[in-house]
Amino acid sequence: MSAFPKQNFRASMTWLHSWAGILPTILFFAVFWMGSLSVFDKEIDRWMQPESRIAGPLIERDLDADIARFLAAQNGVAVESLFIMPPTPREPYLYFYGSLKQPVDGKRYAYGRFVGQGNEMLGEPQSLAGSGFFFPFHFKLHIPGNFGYYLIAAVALAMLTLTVTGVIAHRKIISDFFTFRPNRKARSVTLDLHNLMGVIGLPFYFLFALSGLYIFAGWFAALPMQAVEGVMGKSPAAYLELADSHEVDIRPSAGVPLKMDRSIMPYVEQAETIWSQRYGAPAKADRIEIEHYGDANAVVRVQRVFPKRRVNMAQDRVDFDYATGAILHDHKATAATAARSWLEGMHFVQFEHWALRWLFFAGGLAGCVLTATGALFWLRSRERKAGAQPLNIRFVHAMTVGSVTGMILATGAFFVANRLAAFGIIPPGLTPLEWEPIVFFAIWALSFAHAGARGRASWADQCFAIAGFAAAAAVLNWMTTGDHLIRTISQDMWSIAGTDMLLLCAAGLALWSARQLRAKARLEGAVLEETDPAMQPAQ
Amino acid sequence: MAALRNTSRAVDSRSTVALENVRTFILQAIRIVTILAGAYFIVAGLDIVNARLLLNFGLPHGEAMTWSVMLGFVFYVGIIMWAFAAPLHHRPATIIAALAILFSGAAIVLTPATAA
Repeated sequence: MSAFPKQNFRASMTWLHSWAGILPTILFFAVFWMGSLSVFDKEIDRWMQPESRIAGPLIERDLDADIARFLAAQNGVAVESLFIMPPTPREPYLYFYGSLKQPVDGKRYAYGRFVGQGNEMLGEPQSLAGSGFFFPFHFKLHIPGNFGYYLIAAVALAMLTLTVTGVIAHRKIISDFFTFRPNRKARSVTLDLHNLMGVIGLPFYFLFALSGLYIFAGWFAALPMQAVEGVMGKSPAAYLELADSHEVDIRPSAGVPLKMDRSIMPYVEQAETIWSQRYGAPAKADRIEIEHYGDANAVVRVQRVFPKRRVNMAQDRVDFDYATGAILHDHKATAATAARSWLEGMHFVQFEHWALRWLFFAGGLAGCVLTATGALFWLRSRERKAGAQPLNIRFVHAMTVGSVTGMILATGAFFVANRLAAFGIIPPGLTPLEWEPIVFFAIWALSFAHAGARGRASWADQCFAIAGFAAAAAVLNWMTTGDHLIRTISQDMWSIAGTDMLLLCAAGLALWSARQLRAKARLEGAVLEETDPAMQPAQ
Repeated sequence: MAALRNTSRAVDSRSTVALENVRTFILQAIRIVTILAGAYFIVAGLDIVNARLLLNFGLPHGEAMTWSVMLGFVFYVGIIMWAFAAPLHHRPATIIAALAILFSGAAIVLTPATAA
């Protein structure tokens, strides 16, 4: 690490910008890339689960009948609590999650889904790429325990620092915005692109880093929260529950059995009426919870976590006493919790506004470009100073290639592994849910090794591989489900059509990039042969 | 013989420079860790002091905690920028360490008696 610059404030901030950016490059790219994919997590889930692809308008189901079906499927094992998610345009199936009183096959929970008009209950999803793999990767990197959260907290703090120091470091920030010179040398183009992406997405990066930190404040600000709650040394779940209890009275079970024969719909309708009157617009519940199921103290909690046309999240919640129908608690957010729920809602991007969703996706991809160009500029500057590639530069180069193209390649492999599983191409004893992450991590690890072995040529190689995987995924989807683009578009299955189109666009872009990189490498090789006497043939 | 003496002197000088570099690197690393970790403890302490004061002024629990933590993250970045902008890093490192002890102490005093 170079010595601290001592000239002036701007030089110090440029130094801080370089090091706070280069050290967590791999994590930055992973967070931006997985965050971008998570914007379309439900759509990717549906692409990965052909059984959930339903054409046509949303079908309203009889909730009480479906609860009875779900309970009957538990073979007499009683449930402690029940969690229900009604169908939405992005997830057109009724989803059940039950916490069981006794374990069944070693599990204390049960899943169930009802799709379309069918009464047959589908079990646990066989693949959850969007919401089960890409999304958790975005905030904890699938590292067991709490370490992943802390690592991402450090990344978010570094991002906050980078946004502020970046503004100070760039003297001509406004002119940077209008400066992109594609015909200049590679190093200048890289810097221009880095500046452009940095300025375009500046508010986006700052807000997302800050809101990300706040969403997981239970982990990142563990010390103050534990101290204020008076539970030093307890787990985040313990003090978060305690913090929540200041807002919601958690009622204990009475231990007296109760026949659960009342319909759930009047509670849902009453909560929806309360919200509709409060906000002056029709409101729809998207979460229903029944706590202490079968107990005299059973509570029905009706929530609207993701309002249709509002950014604020998880503000609306009404608790009912199941036995009497009386309202136990009608949650009204205070100023700070409303600010928090706005930040959370903005980060989770679950509101129904497709233009904004695409804009957020573009912002995430701009973050990927920003990270990659930042690392490349750092590398090219060092390479120029060092002349040949010393070992440390080669190492950082391999890390950069692996974290940029390697990450995209591994994602493509994940999609291909999912569709190949439909042909039975999967190791025996493994489910797609277990197999797909193995493929992802194996390909990602290989990409680092390949980058280390091939040096600069690895960029083009991996771009060719990305093109191959992305195109193969779209073709395999057609072969395994019959859902080709014309069919999905004509049947209004935009989640499938959109995923396929993005895969094909990614394939085209990767192919174009690979060809450009190869052409540039050939040109550089030719110039080297002409100018370097050692490369000239003997006379 | 003179050439040997010169070579020996050159080797000694090189090893002295290398040792000095290692010493500087270790010192800088300690200062950076002090700045990063110390700033966290300052912010954590400030959050606790802030939240307890707001609670004493009658603000609801969720409000007090939320405002304190939200401001804390921004404050952390501010401390980091100030520390790294200083021309000599042992000064902010020392100030940060002292403040971290001070605020952590205040936080311990203000933590409820139920804490383990």
